[in-house]
Amino acid sequence: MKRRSLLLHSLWVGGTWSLLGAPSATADDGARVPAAAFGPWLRWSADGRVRAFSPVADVGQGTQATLRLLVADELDLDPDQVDVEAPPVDPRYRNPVLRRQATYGSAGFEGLRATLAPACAAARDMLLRAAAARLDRPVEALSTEGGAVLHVSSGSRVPYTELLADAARLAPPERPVAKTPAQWRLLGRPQPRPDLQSRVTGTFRYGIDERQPGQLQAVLLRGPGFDSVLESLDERPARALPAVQAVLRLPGDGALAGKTVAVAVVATRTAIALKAAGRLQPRWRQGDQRTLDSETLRQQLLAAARRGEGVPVHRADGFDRERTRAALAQAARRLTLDFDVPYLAHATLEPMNATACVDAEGVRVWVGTQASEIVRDAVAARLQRPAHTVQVIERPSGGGFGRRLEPDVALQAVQIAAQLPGRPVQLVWSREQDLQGGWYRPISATQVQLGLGEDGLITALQAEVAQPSLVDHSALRSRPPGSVDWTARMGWIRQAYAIPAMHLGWTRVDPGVPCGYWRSVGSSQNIFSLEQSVDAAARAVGRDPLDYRLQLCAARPDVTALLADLASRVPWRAPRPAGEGLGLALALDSSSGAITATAVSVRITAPGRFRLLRITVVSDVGVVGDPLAVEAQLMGGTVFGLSAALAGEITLRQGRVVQRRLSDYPLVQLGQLPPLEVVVRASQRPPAGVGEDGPPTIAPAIANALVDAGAQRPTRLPLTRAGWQLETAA
Amino acid sequence: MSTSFELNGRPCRLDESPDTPLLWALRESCGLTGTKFGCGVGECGACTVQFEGRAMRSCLLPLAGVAGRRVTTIEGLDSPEGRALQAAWVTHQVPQCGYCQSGVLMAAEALLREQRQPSEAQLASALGNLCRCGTYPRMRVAFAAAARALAESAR
Repeated sequence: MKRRSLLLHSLWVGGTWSLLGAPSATADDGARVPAAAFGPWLRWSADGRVRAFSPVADVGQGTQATLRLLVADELDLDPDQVDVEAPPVDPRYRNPVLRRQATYGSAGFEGLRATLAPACAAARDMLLRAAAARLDRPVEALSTEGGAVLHVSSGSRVPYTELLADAARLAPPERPVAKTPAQWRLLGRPQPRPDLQSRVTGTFRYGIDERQPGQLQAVLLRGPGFDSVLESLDERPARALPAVQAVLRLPGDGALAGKTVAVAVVATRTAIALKAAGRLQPRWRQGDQRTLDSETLRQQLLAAARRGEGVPVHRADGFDRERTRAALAQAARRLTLDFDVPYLAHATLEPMNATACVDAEGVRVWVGTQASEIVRDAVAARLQRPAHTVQVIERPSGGGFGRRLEPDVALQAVQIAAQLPGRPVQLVWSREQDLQGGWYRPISATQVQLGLGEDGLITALQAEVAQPSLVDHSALRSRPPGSVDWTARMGWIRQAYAIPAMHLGWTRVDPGVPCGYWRSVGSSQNIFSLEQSVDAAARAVGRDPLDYRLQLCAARPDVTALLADLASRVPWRAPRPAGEGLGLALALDSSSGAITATAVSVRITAPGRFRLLRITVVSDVGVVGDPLAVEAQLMGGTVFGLSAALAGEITLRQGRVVQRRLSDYPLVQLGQLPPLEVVVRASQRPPAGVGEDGPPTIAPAIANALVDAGAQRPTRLPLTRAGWQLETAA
Repeated sequence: MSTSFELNGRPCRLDESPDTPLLWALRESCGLTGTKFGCGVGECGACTVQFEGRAMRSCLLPLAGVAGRRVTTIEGLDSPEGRALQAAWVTHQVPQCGYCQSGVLMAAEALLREQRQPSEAQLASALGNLCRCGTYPRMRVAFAAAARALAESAR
């Protein structure tokens, strides 16, 4: 008891109780995860408000709102009583699904169920037991409602706030039992989002809105491409402006260590910093990348894919190179298709930015990030400071999409702040720097060879992929640089078609342009290849593409039911008016198993010009916690993929990124989007993420629709490169 | 040199250089961060404010250009149209990350004041703002709902 009392005493912070129960769950004991891991996640205030930490960063996916509903459901209180906070960097706040404190892989909802749900269930159990002792009633006779424990027959009601101290003294349950979907009151149904009020009144604050006392604003000057170094700079024109605080040089790392790769102009106002930077004329020298040309690179990738000597990247589930090659050789008919896609930028609407303050005691970084732990570690390593002296304050982002997994901008902000000790400095990239700043979805080429049997079905499928490896670049890596890029398998593995022999070969071709995780990652290029290949196979043997898929997926009734659902809505069987086409694409999420099928209706209006008439998306993402959020993610993911499909590309000429403005990298606007229907199917499968299930199917669905309308198959993206321009009503 | 103008119904005087884009003056000199920086060259609409009641992209508006005139930002949106739009945006759960929505709502309010039932072409033209999260379908639904709510309250 004495040890627990000391524990309680040490946890009393500013009038709030922490329910920790298990003696092992102390503030010092970060390494051990307690059996009832609600300790780090939940805190109560004396007024009954619950403060919950979120394992998921806010990039707009709505998980904070879902978290409030989950806590309210588990604890039987009002979601308006729940405040959600971003946690500090600490192993206890890792998402157990990812084993990291990071937001990616659409693992948010599963992460909540692995952390907050058992934590709340444990807390509820302890509150009930405390009430049972207080009321001298058996636990079975008690229930919880409205933030209190009730004994219905006697009318006794004890608010949680009166039970916290007693509950905290109890041993937590060893295996807290969270509510099942059947027991959900709030989850699983559309719920209001009063939290959105701040996002429609301009009061919601993103990383770029950080304002620390005495904060300075910084802008960057960078050379072209990714390996430029500063040759010369006359700083005087910038320093001549009185409000300019500093003109600083930022060193590179790795091969560029000791050389200046960027110049920061720091002033009291961004507008002044921009003006001062505009007066400077730095001279940059490009490195070996100055000959880099993306069209040449594209040809290299296609050649590598055609050589067919890639490393096998999957050896389970029927993947076998020799068997596949033998099956191809014996096939009644063979098809060969070459696909290629460009580098893609994330183009988050809030440009990359970070705010940092460095002094003798430590470092503070305020940043819209998807990976606060990665930022902390990168900053600590760069400044050679102990990790515990680096504090990362995670802010909401105006879009993440995988870009905010990389710590590069936070590191730059820290490098600037380190040269102005004690002053908070906010670095904001220009949109040009944002588009040219790298961490792209890799450029990729794939050669697919299909073998068809006498019955026309696919007996063998070989995909040879040539592209850079994310593992060589991204800070989010699970293997050392130089390893095979496992993300290249996404979309190819664990798909629904019964193909007896498959082989996936991977060849690294890397010019050194930084690459990273782009919403749906490998599936963003692989589904384009897979779904056009299946479509081409169907047409080669005179089969309807839907029926062909239904037959290939016959062993997966959940998939065929979903395809039939989509078909009925389009409707697939209706005759096409002249010049119109219907295309469909299917994708299974290789991680979550979520099933998505998209149908697109197009009309070819002139050679090389088409209209989008309608988009229909049907998805099975497992048990749904927040139906409106799920629908929003599928809708938004489809639009995200549509921009890429139509005209999105990052190209390089003479080592420089060509695209400088959003007009060079067009994003779909409201007036260009046809009617878009999203259907979320009821499912009993465990919940699966959904954020990345929208993008992969839209490009192949449009391509398949164009073919259906009589066009030649467009095997490269964006469609503008394949000769197709979207036409919208004037 | 200082610039005086009316900001959200109140007099405002700034000593920034007159060529300062209004966007940065609002965000850093006025402390109003609701107006967002997205591109700085008028291509995304995140910085949309209202100048004399008309939607304009504040990254392209120098401070000198608003001298003596009337500027409204998202923080000062206070009209029946604005309230109807904001309520509909929340009811229909339009925002995802929400970064574009200040600009969208300023453009939408200006449109709704002019046109209770805009044509498709008018809507597409007025709402040219970029939304990277892809919330457009819900924007359409919410805009129509706001227009209906205004029509009903007028009865």
